[in-house]
Parts: sequence; C-alpha cells; structure tokens
Amino acid sequence: MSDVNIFSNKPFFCQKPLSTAEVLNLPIFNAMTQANPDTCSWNACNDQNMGTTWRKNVLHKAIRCGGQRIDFNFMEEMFPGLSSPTMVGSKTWYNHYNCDPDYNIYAAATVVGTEANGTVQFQIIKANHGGSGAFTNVVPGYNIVDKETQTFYTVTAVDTTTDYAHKVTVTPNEAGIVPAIYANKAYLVLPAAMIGGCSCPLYMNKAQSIGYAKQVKPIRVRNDWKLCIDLLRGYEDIAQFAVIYDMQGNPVDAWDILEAQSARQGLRAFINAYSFIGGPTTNPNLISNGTSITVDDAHTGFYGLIPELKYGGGHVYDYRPDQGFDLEADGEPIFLYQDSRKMTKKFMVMHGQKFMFNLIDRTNKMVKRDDLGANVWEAFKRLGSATGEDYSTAMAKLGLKSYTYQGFDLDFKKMDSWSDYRWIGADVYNDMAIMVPQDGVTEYGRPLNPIEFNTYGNGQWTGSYYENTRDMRGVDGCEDFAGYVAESVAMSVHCPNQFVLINPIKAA
Amino acid sequence: MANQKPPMILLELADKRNSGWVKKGTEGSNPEYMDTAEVTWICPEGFMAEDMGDGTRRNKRIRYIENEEIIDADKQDQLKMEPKKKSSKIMFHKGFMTVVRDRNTIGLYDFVRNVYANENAPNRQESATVLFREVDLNKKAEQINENEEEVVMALAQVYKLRKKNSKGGFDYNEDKIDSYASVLNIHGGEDYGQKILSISNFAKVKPAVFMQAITAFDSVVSTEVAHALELGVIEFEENVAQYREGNQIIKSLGTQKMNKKQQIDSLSEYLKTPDGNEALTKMRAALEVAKEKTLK
Repeated sequence: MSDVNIFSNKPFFCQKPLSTAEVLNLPIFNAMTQANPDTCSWNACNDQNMGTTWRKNVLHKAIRCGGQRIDFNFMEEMFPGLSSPTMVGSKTWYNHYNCDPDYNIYAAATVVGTEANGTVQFQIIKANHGGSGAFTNVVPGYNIVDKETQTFYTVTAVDTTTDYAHKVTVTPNEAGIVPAIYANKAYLVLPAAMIGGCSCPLYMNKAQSIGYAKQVKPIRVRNDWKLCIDLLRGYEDIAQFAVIYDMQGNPVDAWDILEAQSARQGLRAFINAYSFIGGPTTNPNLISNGTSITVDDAHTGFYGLIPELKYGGGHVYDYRPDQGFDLEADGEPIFLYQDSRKMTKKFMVMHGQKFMFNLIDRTNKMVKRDDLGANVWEAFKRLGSATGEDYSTAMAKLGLKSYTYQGFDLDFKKMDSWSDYRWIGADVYNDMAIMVPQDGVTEYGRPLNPIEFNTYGNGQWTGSYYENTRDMRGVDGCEDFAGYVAESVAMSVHCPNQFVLINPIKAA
Repeated sequence: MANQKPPMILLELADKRNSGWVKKGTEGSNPEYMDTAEVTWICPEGFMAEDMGDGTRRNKRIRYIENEEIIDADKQDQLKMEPKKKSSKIMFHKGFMTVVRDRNTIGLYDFVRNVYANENAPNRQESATVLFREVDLNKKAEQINENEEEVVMALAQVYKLRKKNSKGGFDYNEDKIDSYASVLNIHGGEDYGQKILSISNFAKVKPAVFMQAITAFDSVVSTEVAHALELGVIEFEENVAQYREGNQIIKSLGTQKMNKKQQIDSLSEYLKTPDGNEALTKMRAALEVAKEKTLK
C-alpha cells in the first residue's frame, strides 16, 4: 500500500501557514496521540526543536491495523469495460449467440433389425430436437452414416407426431446388411438426398434453431449521504477525520468528506460484486414502479458471471480441491473436448490463491507419477548466493504462471479478492478457477470481448456515473451538506459455452 | 429371466436455476429456457458409505474407471487397475444423464448410485457436495398425469361456455366469455368462437392459474350477493333483483320459476359481465355501508 498522508493537500504543521490557525488547538488529536499540548500547538512549532518534537509525536500519522486494502474493484480490473460501459439508446437489449451446428444425431435406445435389407425405427434423443421439439436435422431422403463402420443408411420415414420424440426409419444402402442403430453412438447426417436422373422437388425443412437469446436489463445503484456542516468548521473537528479510517483502512480527513468517499466506495463494491455473482430481481414484492427501495421493470438487473456460467450453458468441470487440479488428468479432457468442438485453445485462467497452491502440488505429483524427467523436475530450489543469503538456508518453492501443450495455452491470473474473506472471498472462490477464452468469440468475424458492459443514454441524459453535492442551507435551511452517487450498468457474457468454470466440490 | 431389462437410472443435476437464455425459435408460448451448463464433468473419484457390521459406517474410497466393473478404489489398486486419465470422465449434457447397468456401464452405474455426490445415495455423508439426484420416473409420470388432469378439468370449464345448437353451430354464453376474457386478461379474438379458442389456449398452457382465477371470480361475486341479501341491501321481488332502499331495480332475472340459490347464481352471472360491472360496483359500495352499520 502506498503511504497515504493524513492531510491530502499536505497542510503539515510548521511548514506552511494555515487559515485555520486560530482554532488549531487539537485537543482531541492530542489526546489520541498522547502528545503534550504544550509542545504541540502552532505557537510551539515556531521553535524548530518543538516542531520536530511534535512531528515525532505524530510520526506514524494514523496507524492501520488491517492488512492489504480491500480490492472492491476486482471485476473492473479484470474486465475494464465495467469502468467505461458502452452507451446504447435503450434500457433493454438482447444478447444472443449461435452455436455451431452439429451434424450428428443420437438414438435414445439401441435397435437391431431382424433381416438383411430391412428397416429399423429409432427415436432421436431429446437434445437433438429444436424449435420446441418440432424439428430435427433428419428428413426422409437424407442419409445417416455409421462413421465407424462406414455404413450408409437412407432415411425412409420420420414420424414427427410427438415433439422431442421423433422416430426415424432407416434402411441400409448396401444389400445384405442387417440394420442396427446403437445408443450412445454419433450418426452423421448428410443433409442432401440421392436421386435419379429425372427428379421432382423434395422439400426438406430442417431445424433452424442453433442458438440462444436473452433479454438483458440494467441495474441502477444509488448511494446517498448527508453531513452536518458544523463538522467542517473547526480544525479541531477536522482532526477527528484524520484518525478515522475508511473501509479500506485509509486515513481520511475533511478535505474530502468521508461520507462522500464511502458512498462512492459502496457503489463500486455493489457493482463489482453484482457483476460477479448477482442475478435479476424477480420477486414481485421488490418490483414496483415508484417506491425508492424497490426496482422497476426496466431495472431488474442481469446475471453475473458465475450464475451465467453455471446455469447459462457454460462448461462446468467439478474437481476436488483436496487433490488439486491436474493439468493432465483434468486439463487434457477439457483440451480434447475443446478440440472436438474446434473451440478456443487459449485461455486466461482467473483463479483463487488456494486453487494455485493445490495446482502446483498436484503438478509436482503429476511429474513424479509419469516418471518422465522426474529427476530433473525442480519443485524447490536452493537460492544460493543470488539473494545474498546463506546457501544452506535460502530456498524457494517453484510456482506456475502459464502452461502450454500442443497449442493449448493457459495463462494464470490470481484474483486477490476471491481469497479476501473480509469481502467477496469464500472457500468456494478461493478454490475456483474460470477459464476465460482469449479468442473464439466473434461477431461477423470480428473478435469480440467475451464480456461486455453497457449503459443507456440519450444526449446528456445517461445512466453513466453521476455524483452530486448539495448545500442544504439553500434547500431546506438545515446546515448540512448532502450528496449522492448513482450509476446504471448491465453486463453481457457472450457465448458462455466458450468458458470453463473449474468448480470445487467436497467429496465427503 | 432372459428378457428382463437391466436396471436404468435417469440422473439430473441438482443445481439448476434460470439463466434468462431462451432457445431461439421457442420464445413464444412454450419457451425452452437454459437452466444448466452445456456440459458438466463429474469427478470420477469419491466416497460411499460402507457398513462395518457393528453399526458403524466408514467412508469407502470409490473410483469409476471406464469399462471396469469394480469401483472399490483399494481393490482397483491391488489389481493394478489404473485410472484412465482422459476417458474415465462422467459428463452430464444439458443437465441430464442416463445410465443402464449393462456390460461396460456396470461400473458407472454402481458409482453414480452410491457416490456421495448423488443426493439419493444410501447413507450419504451430508457434508459432501450434492451434484446430482436420481429422477423418479414414476413420480414424473404421476406429475404428468396430474398436469393432464388439470388441463382436462380446465378445458371442461371452457367448453361449458358454448352449446351445440340445432343448426350444427354453437350458441355462446357471450357474457360469461367476456367475463372470463376480462379476468384472464385475454384480448384476442374477433368473434366468440375465436375468444373461446384464446381462453382454451390459456387453459391448456396454465390450467392451474385458469382454474384458480375463474373459481375465485365465480365464488366471490356469489358470496357478495348472498351477503347483500342477508344484510338487507338487496332483495328479490319475484324474479326481480332490487335494492331494498328506494326499490331501484338491478336486474330482471326472467320469467321461469327459481329458488333462492338459482336467483343468487343468476344475479351473480349478470354482475360478473361487463354490462353488470356498474351494478356490481354499486352493490359493493352499499354492502360496505351496511357492514359498517352492522358493526356499530
């Protein structure tokens, strides 16, 4: 943490005259620092030695007892778009993505024919249906292929009576084959029909639905504050601020009002946490157009990153943190899956601290297990004279920053806040990792950020960050300062199916 | 028992929630929401409860290895069965997996039936994370039957709104159709045939909501009429419903002979129609005044 001065505009005593000299008695401050009032007044500071004594007494300024500052802005730091959302002219917009078509179908159960050149009828699994279950990729006339045995079948009939349970009748193209369609086996659909030399139209309507769409609504967040002006009048009172800490442990004085800082900080904290794990307000008791502590229909909010990945079609890889994530046994099945869908090979792996500790331990065991190069694999290192320490005492455990294998690249990025239990941190995030695609999300071929942030606006009237301070003496006659901060923002996760959430679970 | 079918279980991920994503093409009346991950990999190692014979149980280490029947990890180690690092993975596609205990899936079946990650595993340890549960197909069937029954009952109420006439067409209870459309917030339909179609579509999609709405609507007005009679706000003079004070007529209910209940029902039917809406408001106001007087 950088050294923060108590007084942000540097009004150090004995260094420059202050307009508040006449009230510079500081009894409260003196009491708290246990300074001698006789040596700590402005007059006393006219003596060089006395001034030095005074500074010695307040040498430590305001001592913080906490650890590192709390990283409220972790989502903004990881995804800078949150700090500068793109403006759109609407309060509701749509996010959508297209999946790659899969030209394979699966049978719900194995069926074997009774005679050569005969037919079999099988039911297509539910997942291969689209358009409310009314369509599949199979229509009479198409060929389906058993890729392993290179056997072609012609589709002779498709019974579409029951949605999500279409029944397909096929017959082998080659004479002498007893038809057999097996469950759990992919059959390739060749989307055209073989015909003779003099043909008539054969209309074939296919499943058009190969993607998902959703409505995205923003959240609007506001924080108000009010402060009695009297607290700003006397320097002795200002001194109270010098020994007051904000939520991050920074000492704050009245040159910027603590209440205003807290309001800003609360706003950032809310927006960052919501973007990470939030979800829309759907309880009708909390949706009302008018009351101040409820939202309205236009601001019910969006799904944060974690719910989006867990429930919105992401890929979830459950693993046991007590064993650690294994780059070979856990990582390679993911790589193989990515390759089977021709999806991205490059990931930024955001992770908690404990995930990485366990990953490193597991990686060391992985090398030992494979018995390849174990004798040269360095898990620990004697630092020798490099650090100027004694050779026999200085050592380091070696870590991991990136991993590469056959074109698959993982870059690891530690998310400090996920292990900050004062704030968003929890066991589940400490052990968790999110593999964010570094490429593969495109719009008309143009690379697109996997996560985008938006706000709304029309001319000067926008949902961008707004801050206001009011002198209430001219409003209601009360000697107060008041103010508020507010911001509207929405988040869109593009193609959640491109992400992999490495999710910790407890086995017992 | 050569034809006996091998045991089969349908598993469903335990943690499902709406994500807002709707499959394209299904956004209309029957949206297909995404509520789970595209693919979920389940850890192929875990624990199951083993009875020690003296009333105590221990956590036995189990592991699924593709094509192997034995899931006891200690036995696997003794037999030098190595986990297949890349293929012994258990995958749920879109939240579901079906496993048949047959040939090369015997090990997988036994693993998913017993591992603590299964909410229905025998004597499971509560502290283990629940990842999936078994879907009781009988229960699902009962639920489907119950839903179908609700739809039939709801449609029966809808088709009471019309009667076949001698010309081969239908006579419509127009007032009631309008009332139902108003209560259900349905605005479609040029004529009464189309209006009934809109109402029946609603009843098919949301039978429980339909029944609740029309039952409440029917019974509330009847109760209010009975209450108004009891407190002397209104009275029946022959078949004419009128206010007792001032003898202002509400509605003449026809010439056929009616008992008290029929008179209440008939007046309620009228008050529920858009035409009777004004009279209903007036009767309610008079009823409130009478109630307050009674309390004093």
